[in-house]
Amino acid sequence: MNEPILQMNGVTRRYETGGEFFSRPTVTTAVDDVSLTVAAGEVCAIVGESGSGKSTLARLAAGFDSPDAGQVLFRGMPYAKPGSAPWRRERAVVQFVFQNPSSALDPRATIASQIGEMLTTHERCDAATRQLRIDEILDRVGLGGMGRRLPQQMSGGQLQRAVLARALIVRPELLICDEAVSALDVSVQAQILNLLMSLKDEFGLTMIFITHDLGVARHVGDRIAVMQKGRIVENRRTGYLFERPRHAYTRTLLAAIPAATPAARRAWDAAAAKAAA
Amino acid sequence: MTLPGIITLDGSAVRPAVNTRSARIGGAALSVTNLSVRRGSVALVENTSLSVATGETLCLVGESGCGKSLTCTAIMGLIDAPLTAEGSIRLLGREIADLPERRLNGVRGRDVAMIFQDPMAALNPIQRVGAQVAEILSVHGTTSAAERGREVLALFERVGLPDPARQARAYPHQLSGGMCQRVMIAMAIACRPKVLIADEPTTALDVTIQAQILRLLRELQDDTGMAIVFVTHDLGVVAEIADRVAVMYSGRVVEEAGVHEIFGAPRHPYTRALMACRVGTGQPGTALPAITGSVPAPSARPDGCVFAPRCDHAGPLCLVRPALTQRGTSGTRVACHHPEEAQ
Repeated sequence: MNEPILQMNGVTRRYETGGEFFSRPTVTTAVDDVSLTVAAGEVCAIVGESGSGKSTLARLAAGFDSPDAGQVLFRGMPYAKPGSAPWRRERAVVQFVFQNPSSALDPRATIASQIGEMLTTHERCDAATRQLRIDEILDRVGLGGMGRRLPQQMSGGQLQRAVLARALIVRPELLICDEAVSALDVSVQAQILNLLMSLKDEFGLTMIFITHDLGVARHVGDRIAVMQKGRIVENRRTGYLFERPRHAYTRTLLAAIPAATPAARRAWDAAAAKAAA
Repeated sequence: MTLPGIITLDGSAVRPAVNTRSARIGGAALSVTNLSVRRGSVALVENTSLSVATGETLCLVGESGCGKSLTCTAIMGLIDAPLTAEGSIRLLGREIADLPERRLNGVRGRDVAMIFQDPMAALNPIQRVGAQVAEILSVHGTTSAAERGREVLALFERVGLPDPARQARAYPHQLSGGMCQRVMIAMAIACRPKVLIADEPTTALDVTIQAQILRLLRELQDDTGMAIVFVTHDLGVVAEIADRVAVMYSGRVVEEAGVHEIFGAPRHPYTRALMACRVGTGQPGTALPAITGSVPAPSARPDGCVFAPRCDHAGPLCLVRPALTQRGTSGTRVACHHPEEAQ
């Protein structure tokens, strides 16, 4: 195993919810004593159902949020204090891709200017280099010549490519994708997954890939961590997880994946067939 | 369309043969002929014909923007200006396309009902969910409030909502997405419709909830013999629930066949491409055979075959002449100049 790039040790994050008017606030433990190590160059997929704490874990891993207990270490160091100079540098090194590209982009600014803004914020470069870098990354994600478009002039798949371009132009080490392909059609999803996989090799990226789709997790993940109610209940190499799931919840999830073909249809049909016979 | 079931060594059938289900499939419950939905002169759905029989599930598949949801909306008579719909919609042998709104209200909810994609948006946020279901019953003739109340609880029980009495008093925001979807289903089946239109009813749900909902729809169909039109873009769901599949592309049906034919021997290049780009079919980590480009906007459809610009098999003919629908045996059809040979 390569050196660990991200380590989470006993991380817990709680939220208070409710508490309006006369009701007492209730404390929800979104992430509960989670430990996770992600090695350099690895794709770690995190799967689980809505409310299992996947997104909170992603935000903690990115340093957008700090844990109530436990620690998050990036290359062996905790994230710097927000606003400080080292913190600014870290922001470039860890990049985040959200589920909905149309809300992640500014509807009033061209794609090129939104990608270029990353360079202005994180690097010093002259206008010519800047333009060159923007064109280069747009070409790489398959949006060559579309830099002057506004988000509304692009399809969902193109927008997600633009978001990837914006994340990758500063050459991050860790890319965290939170349901990055969930809102896309299967055909477009395949395009984006292919692009992500080739960019990963080219940029030597380490990835945390949050998804509720076990098929996607299996396709991209070297390793899969299964979350349930804020905890990681199973965390293993992808092949093992699918062949020999250990935790009951993993088995439940695997059993709920729709059949690949009608020949493999679920048991209730077989039961109906038996009743008919 | 009888395919043999797979028989294991001990002689038990692991796959139900198609004919175990087709035994319950009866005459046409809904038939749509030459349906078009237009915005001005642009056809968003063009000359679409579909039919679904009693006890049968027809899946409508395709990418976003292919007209699946619009087709459903048109069947329900919910097309509003600036859109216009034309064509014939026969429900249980009766033409409903030109019924006035008042008469249509007597049909909707009772004979044909729809489950919308986003339950949170389809439910009234400021009315208790029990009351919303009771309203359907009251519109369609259950006059006694006490009876409606009992009926609502029975329906909630039926769709697997835990503690029905408590859930009936909840507002939509107090329920999870899966629970709201069950409320929607309870509402849709309240009057035991003959035809159920389900527009991506499980797309927003977790896989475990999805499996429960699919199972529930199946059981309801077994009990009541309702016909289901099920819209989805998830081919796994199609494999689970469909008897027959219609593949839509850019406002038209490009292929229709039994579910076993669609998976075993898809004929249209678009169907084949959709099948190929699913994750989980290839080796993990390898490139998926994605379909290049995207669905053309209805106002910018190419001359010739609409799929030709994205098709690997497109020849000179495809670029100039639209592909006409060829009908095959047992109700299959394909709109392609060079379809894969039927097996």
